[in-house]
This record gives sequence, C-alpha cells and structure tokens, in this order.
Amino acid sequence: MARPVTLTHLAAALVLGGLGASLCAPAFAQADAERIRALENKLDASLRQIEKLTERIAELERASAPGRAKAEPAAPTAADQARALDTLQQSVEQISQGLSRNVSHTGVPLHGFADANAGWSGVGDPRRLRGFGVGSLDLYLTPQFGSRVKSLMEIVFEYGPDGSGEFEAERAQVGYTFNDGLTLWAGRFHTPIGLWNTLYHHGANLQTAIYRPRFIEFEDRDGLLPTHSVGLWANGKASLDWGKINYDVYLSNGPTVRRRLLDFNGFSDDNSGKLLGLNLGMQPHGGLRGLTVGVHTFGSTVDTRSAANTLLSRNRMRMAGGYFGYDAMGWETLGEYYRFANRELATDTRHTSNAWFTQVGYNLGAWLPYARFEKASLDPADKLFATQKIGRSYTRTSVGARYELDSKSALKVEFGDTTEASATLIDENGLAVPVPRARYRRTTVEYSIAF
Amino acid sequence: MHTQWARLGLIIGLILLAPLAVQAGEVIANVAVVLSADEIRDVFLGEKQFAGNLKLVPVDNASLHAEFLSKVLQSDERKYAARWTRKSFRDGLAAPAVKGSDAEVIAFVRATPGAVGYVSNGAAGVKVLEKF
Repeated sequence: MARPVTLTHLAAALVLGGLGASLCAPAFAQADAERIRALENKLDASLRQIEKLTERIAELERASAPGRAKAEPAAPTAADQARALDTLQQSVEQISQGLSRNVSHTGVPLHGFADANAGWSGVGDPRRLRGFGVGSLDLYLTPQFGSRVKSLMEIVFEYGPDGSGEFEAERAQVGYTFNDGLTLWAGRFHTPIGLWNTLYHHGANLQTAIYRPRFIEFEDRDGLLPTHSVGLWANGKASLDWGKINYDVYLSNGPTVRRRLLDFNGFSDDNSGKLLGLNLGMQPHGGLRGLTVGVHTFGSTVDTRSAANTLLSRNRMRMAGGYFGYDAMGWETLGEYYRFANRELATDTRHTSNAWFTQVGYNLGAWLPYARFEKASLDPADKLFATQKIGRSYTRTSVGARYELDSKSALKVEFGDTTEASATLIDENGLAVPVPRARYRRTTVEYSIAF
Repeated sequence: MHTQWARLGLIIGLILLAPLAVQAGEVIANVAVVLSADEIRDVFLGEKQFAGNLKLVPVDNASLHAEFLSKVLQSDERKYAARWTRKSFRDGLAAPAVKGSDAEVIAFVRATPGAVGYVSNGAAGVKVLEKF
C-alpha cells in the first residue's frame, strides 16, 4: 500500500537535496574563487576609498566651521554619505573606462588567418604536391566610421605554384547601413553565391575541410565561377514569426576568360555586360534552428580572349541553383547546386551544365570527421568552360578530419580522389587541344590558425 | 512536535536549496532601447544592429560571460568566439566590447545610447530587459 507523502517527507527530501547541493557547492565555489577574490579586493579598495572620502568630508566641515573646530566631529549626514557615494561612483566609472577593452577606443583590431601544410599527390594533380607548403596569410580589418558606415579591408599573401609570393587586395569594401534590412556596399567583395564563398573564402581556419570544392576555387586557382566582384552589393535580413530571411543583390563588372583563367575584371569591365546576381536565403526557428536554405542566380556577358587579346567567343552566362546548410545537434552539413544555361552569342548555340557538392561532418568533441562529394558535368562544347584550364567534367570524393587544438587553431588531414573526364579544351591561341582522362589522389595535412 | 520538526526541515531545505534557484543576472539596456527576448539574442550574435533608427551597441561582461552564454544564447565561449570570427570576416562587424565588471557595464550602458549589456544586478539609470 502506497504511503501518503507528508510534510515530513517533503522536508526530509528538501534537507537531503539541500545537503547534496551544499556538498556540491565547493566545486562551484572553487570555480568562482578567483572571481570572488577579485571582488573582495575591489570591495576592500572601495571601503578604503569611502573611509578616505569620509575623513576628507569631515576635514572640510571642520575647516568651514571654525567655531566648531574644537568640538566633537559630527556624524556624517545622509546628504554627506550620498555625496561620498556619488564621488565614489564617478571614480569607479573613470577607473572602469580606463581598464575596459572598448574596440572603438583602442584603434582598429587586426584579424587574420594563416596556415601551413604538407601534401602528397599523384602526377595528374595540377598542384602536384610533394612536400611542405605555406598556405596563405590573410589579414583583415573592419574599421567602423560612426554608427552606419563600416568597411572591410582584406589583404592576402600567398605563394603561387611556381614559388613566387604575391600580395593581393582581396577585399576593399565600404558600406552604409540604413537599417537591418539594407546595407549598401561598394568596392571589391566576395561574390555572394551559395554559402561557402562568403562564409569561409580565404579563412582556412574557418572552413572544416582543407580544400574548397574545386569548381568554386578562386579565379587564379582555376575556379570556374567569379568568386570576387567589383561593384555594388546590397544585402540585409528581416525577422519573421517563423524565422529569418536574408538577401544579397549585386551588380559588378562581368568576368572575362583570359590566359585560360576567369578574370573578374577588378580594374574595369571589358564589355557592357555586367554581372547581376541575387541570393535569397532563409533560416527557420524552432525545431529547425540551424538550418539554412536558399536560392541563388547570376548572369553576365562573358568574353573569352586569346593570349593576343583577340575575341574567341562572346557568351551569355546564366546560373541558377540552390544551397542548404545545417549546423546544429552536432551536425555540420552544407551543399550547393549550380545549373548553367550558357549561350554563345555569335552562333546562338546553347549549352547546359551543372556542378554541385555536398559535405557532411559530425562533431565528436574536438574531432570533426567529414566527407564531401563534388561533381561538375560540363558541356564540352561550351566555349565558356572549354577555354578555361579545368573546364571539363570531374568528380572528387574527399574524406578528412579536423581536430580543434584550441579555439584559435586546428589540425586537419584530408584525402581526396579526383577523376577528370577527357575533353577537348581550347588553348590560349584558340586552338583545340585534346586532354585525356585523368585520375589522381591527394593527401594533405594542414595546421591553421585564426587571430 | 512532529509538525514542528517538519517545518524546521522545510525551512532548512529551502535555505540550502535557495542559492541554486537564484537568477544569474539581468540584461540591461540604455533607457531608449526596446528589445524582445529573441531580439536580445540576435543583438549579441550580430544579427540585429538597429532598433528602429537607434544603433545597438552590445557589450559583454567578463565576470558573467559564461552564465550569459549558457542561459541566454545557449552557447559557450568557443562557439561564441568562432561565431564572431565568422561574423566579422563576412559582414565586417566588430565583436562586442568586453567590460570587466558589473560597475563597468552599468556605467557604459547608462552613458551610451543603444547600449545593451548584462549584469548580476540592475542599477538606477538603466532599463532591465530580461532576467536570466
């Protein structure tokens, strides 16, 4: 038979619970001991200051009332104490202002990323890794000018495959924020396509994997997409009942294919076909918090040119696609899809291609193992791609692991297996060059830091 | 007699458990700031920069940071730092300034239009937005 719960039982339970909590308290107290000691020191200092102020007030009172100079010192009144406390508060505030770290009052902080690596790869690898290497040193500043004007300056130093080092002004953008729904940027910025390009870019320590998906590599590393832009960019976000939406709209110089690389025309455009793009994303709340889904599109007129700068083809480039990301419950997943519908204007020939990747990672404490699959299916007759170094179809499977050494540094190891389809590419002189199928593997270890 | 012992036990138990039920702190703001609980989270994650035309200025309190991250942002120091690194890199925003004590935060919030901070106990001249 169940016994009724009486007040005695409740009291006994509370006493036991309380004793248990009290026994646990030393553990918490130990963690707070340092803070308490600091507070005690501050309190002692404050009390000393109060005593001094009280003595000083008494002295002043004695001085202002000669007739009572010999009399017993009067006890401080409430008004005296209030004045003393005000003085003490002002003093504390002044000390606080001197001790606190306030970004706007201590110059512009310099942030950055750096990485070093070691890698080995097969003969088919365009990078042909055979030892140690220095990645990139990325330095950026975010100076603010008042409450609405902000800027972002980024410089990258890196070594090319031939061993030559070079500095590049990666970003130089100035923005004016009207409200949370609209910031208008001008200058050179990371093209807001998908998630990866603006989220990670040159920040090796930010991205889970060592390598970017190949088709969204930087332009000077044979990437197929304009990952940088020079022009205008408007972005913003809005909160709704079910979550948030964000958008990016940009108008910039259209790219050109030169020396078999996509040139985003950082100085000036070579034709009137500007790059116009849109990125629309949303992040739901509630049980789906951590999920991002979106669509993106851009279009431009893109010329391909020979080494002698003669026009090889003029193309209308159109891309539309979508992306997703999920960062919650230990999962770190993202994927992007790009569908191209390009048209060669001289012949009105249409070409469709697509490229996509998906990467899945799972947090296991300091470890984050991940896997990625990426694929580009490019129309071999599309001159927009065929005039580029890696403008052919490929697949790549990558597996790796990231280990957080601390909050600012990580060690990664990654293995990749790439297969490139045979194709007929167009060289710098406009001549067709057959390229056989290739397959190579690459193993890389990377140490990266953020500061 | 039995009831008296029960009452005594109840009182002792409540006294012993009381510290565990005490709130960690309060989110305070300059008197001109109006924000909901969700918006407070967004302010400290760099997702919300304005309240109407007022530029918001979040400020962290080193002495209460871990509790605030845990109870309000459901995060920890490492994730918070990583998030702000990404936010700064992508959007050009500066992470919140860090103050060392309640007194410093209160002084800053009181003197700065749009300032939002958190302290163990509120004070005169600032608005309490939320308790945590």
